[in-house]
Amino acid sequence: MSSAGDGAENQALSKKALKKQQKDAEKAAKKAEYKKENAQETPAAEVEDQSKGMYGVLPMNQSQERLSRRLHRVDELLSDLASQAVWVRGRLHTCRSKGKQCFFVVRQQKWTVQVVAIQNEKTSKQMLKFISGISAESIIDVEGVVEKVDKKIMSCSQQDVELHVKQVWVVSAAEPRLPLLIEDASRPEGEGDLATVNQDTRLDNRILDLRTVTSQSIFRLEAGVCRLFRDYLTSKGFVEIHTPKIISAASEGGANVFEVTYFKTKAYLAQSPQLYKQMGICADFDRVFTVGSVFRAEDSNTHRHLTEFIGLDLEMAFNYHYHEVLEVIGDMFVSIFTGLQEQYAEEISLVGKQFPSEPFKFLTPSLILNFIDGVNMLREAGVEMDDEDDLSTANEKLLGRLVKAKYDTDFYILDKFPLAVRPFYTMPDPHNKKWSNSYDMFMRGEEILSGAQRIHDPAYLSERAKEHGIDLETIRGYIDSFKYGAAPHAGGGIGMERVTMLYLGLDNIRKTSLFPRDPKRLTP
Amino acid sequence: MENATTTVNCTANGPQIPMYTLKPYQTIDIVQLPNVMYKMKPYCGTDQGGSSSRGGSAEPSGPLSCLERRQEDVLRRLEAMQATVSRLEQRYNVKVTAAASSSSSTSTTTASAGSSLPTFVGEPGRILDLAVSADPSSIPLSLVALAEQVSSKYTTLLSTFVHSSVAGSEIPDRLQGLLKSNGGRSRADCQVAVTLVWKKVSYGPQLVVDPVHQTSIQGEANVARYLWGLLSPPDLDPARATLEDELVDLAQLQVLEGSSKERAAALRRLNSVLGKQNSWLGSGQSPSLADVVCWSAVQQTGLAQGAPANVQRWLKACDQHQVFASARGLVAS
Repeated sequence: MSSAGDGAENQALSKKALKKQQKDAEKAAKKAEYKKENAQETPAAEVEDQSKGMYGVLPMNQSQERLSRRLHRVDELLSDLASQAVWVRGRLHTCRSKGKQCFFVVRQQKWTVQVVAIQNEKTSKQMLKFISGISAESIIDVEGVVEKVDKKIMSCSQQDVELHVKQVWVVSAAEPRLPLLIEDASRPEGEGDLATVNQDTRLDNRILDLRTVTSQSIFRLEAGVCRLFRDYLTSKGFVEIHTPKIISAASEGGANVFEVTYFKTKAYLAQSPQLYKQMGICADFDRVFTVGSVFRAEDSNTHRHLTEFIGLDLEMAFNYHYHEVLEVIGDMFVSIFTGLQEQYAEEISLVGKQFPSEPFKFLTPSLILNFIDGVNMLREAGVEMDDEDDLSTANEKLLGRLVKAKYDTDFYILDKFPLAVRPFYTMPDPHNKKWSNSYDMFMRGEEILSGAQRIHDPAYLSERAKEHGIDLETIRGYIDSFKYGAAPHAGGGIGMERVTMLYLGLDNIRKTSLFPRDPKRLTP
Repeated sequence: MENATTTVNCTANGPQIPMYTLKPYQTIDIVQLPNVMYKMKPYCGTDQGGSSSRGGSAEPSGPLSCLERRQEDVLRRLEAMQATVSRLEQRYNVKVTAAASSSSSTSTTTASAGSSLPTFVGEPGRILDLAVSADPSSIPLSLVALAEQVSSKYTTLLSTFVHSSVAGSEIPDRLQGLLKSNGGRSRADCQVAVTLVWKKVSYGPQLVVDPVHQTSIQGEANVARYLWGLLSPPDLDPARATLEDELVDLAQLQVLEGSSKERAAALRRLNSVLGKQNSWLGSGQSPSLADVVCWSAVQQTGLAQGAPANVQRWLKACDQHQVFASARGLVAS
């Protein structure tokens, strides 16, 4: 990677700094070794260097001094800054040198700019050699003059300008050997013979993978999902609450909860904030929502299951009919989707470059169909099922396609599920015991929200629990919270990662979880 | 192609012996190349006379006779079916309804038009959902009028949506709630739903009923035909039905999609038809499908002003009639 020549300059320039670095015990052993090697070869080449003091490795920043020098952001480098000298800090994305020229790309988050170094009276051969020796992904400071280019630079986000180098300093060097190349990780899959990086390698080296433009965009958009969820609900008078994640009893059954040791007894990780949301309603908050981790001990290794994910949950008291809540949730999704469409158009298109998908389509207001309509549509497509069968994953997908073909929407709500397939606390339909006041919502044919009007009458709740064969003692606390008067209420919860994945049309939920947890992965 | 080994020679100043030899990497057998781009079987059945009929001089060949034979075959099969039905009728001692028997005696086209209505309408728990997408820049007035009629005949859920491909702000409020059932009607109680989606559609309104078994129905006139099928039984008189069909096509092809010249011609045609009829384009005492579609087309294209006298009189009559009541409001504004 690097050779003796550039070491000479390093040494001459910042001997003190290097010594300091070498002394620093916390420095990685490899790096020190590399530097020492260079130091030994110093006396060999001591040629006249006209660029002395214009490049090198900066001493480790211990906040020695506070410069008033302005660092431009890469995305600020536009043609109106032409012929001005600016400082930029970023990562060395790629570098290729050819004879007396060296082209390299500085990357900052999702923006990139091309920098040119040409050997001349101000830029020495040694400087070029130094630049081409910097390892990729190192953080560098570059001073350069902004120059307009005649031909657009297609490989960079700043297409109209490039920087002509004056100074280059290494702020923090990366190890020369990277476990994965950012370029490979940014490449669309299945395109030609060029290398791509598989999912597990990505996740093992997540911080490098997260540096790709695609990942940067995905997580910005995900932050948008969360923010738009908060904004919409706050504007509708909801209160954000925080619920405990360590709980004493499993909320539903107990098959899929994580057990933790809690001093001398056992506790569980919350698999849903639902009971606490409902208690929030009983405590007269009227409308509540919560954003927080949810844990599911399900040993399912699919593209859409995680053992820990972020739940966006809401619960709302209503006046007369649970459709008041259904409409609020439907409008909330419309507001999230429109917000993403308007504010994150750039991110969506950047993700689409690596993982192409059809743009997400939806209707305003949200389309609400009944469960039985869905069953009838499936039957007409040749699926054999009973009225009260739950939708299998395959049928969910098929129904998503049918609804898309008919109404041209990727998002819809299915209302009035059969009572038999819902949990005990679901309110049955007032006219027909076969149905219930519950609903699921779907994006691109995958379920993202499941919700219902909950039973708020303790006596009826006990009765329903008994019918489901649940030991009343285990849910005593839950039932008791409705004893002192409770408003009729309904709610639901969505998984943030799943919404992001489906909105972008990605194929795996691990792409939208920063550090995913699944049955086979606990690190990083 | 001779089957020799290919040799590669060295440069001129080298010895004139082949540097290395290559065996041909493909064997050139005689490949039968077709002399047509692709082949297909004749699409008109020729199985009647077997293989002998193809060469036989007694059978006139050509697509026309083919069609003729096919029609005869179909008719024969229909007769056989009719015979079977009447046999079953006798065996189980049931009477066929008047409509069915009369349609079988008239023409086959009207019978098929009558069967366009899905059989399950009115069954509890089943809803016939008509998803219509329309462009907000050209409001299908006939749809508005007919949706109103449908909802007076069936318990109907009317709803309007805006597709994400058009910005909500582009659509004025009155269009965002154009079709709307009053009073929180529950979907489960309804027989029919008309779901209007505002979106960019290039070739006029589109109707999808069953995405699996049907293609979408394109064009305002065809959507109106479908809705009309829900409202009244097909006209069994072939002459009247043909005239009505012609007028509906006239509205679609010459008024909505026509040039100014074609539009003027269409108005003259309407004028002459209206000269012969009492007040409506159809023969009945109330507006027919042709009236609704023609009125919609004339109003959308702004031909109402400067229309000939009979058309003016007809437009005035439309204005008074309750069928057009809901759609008329969209014209004035």
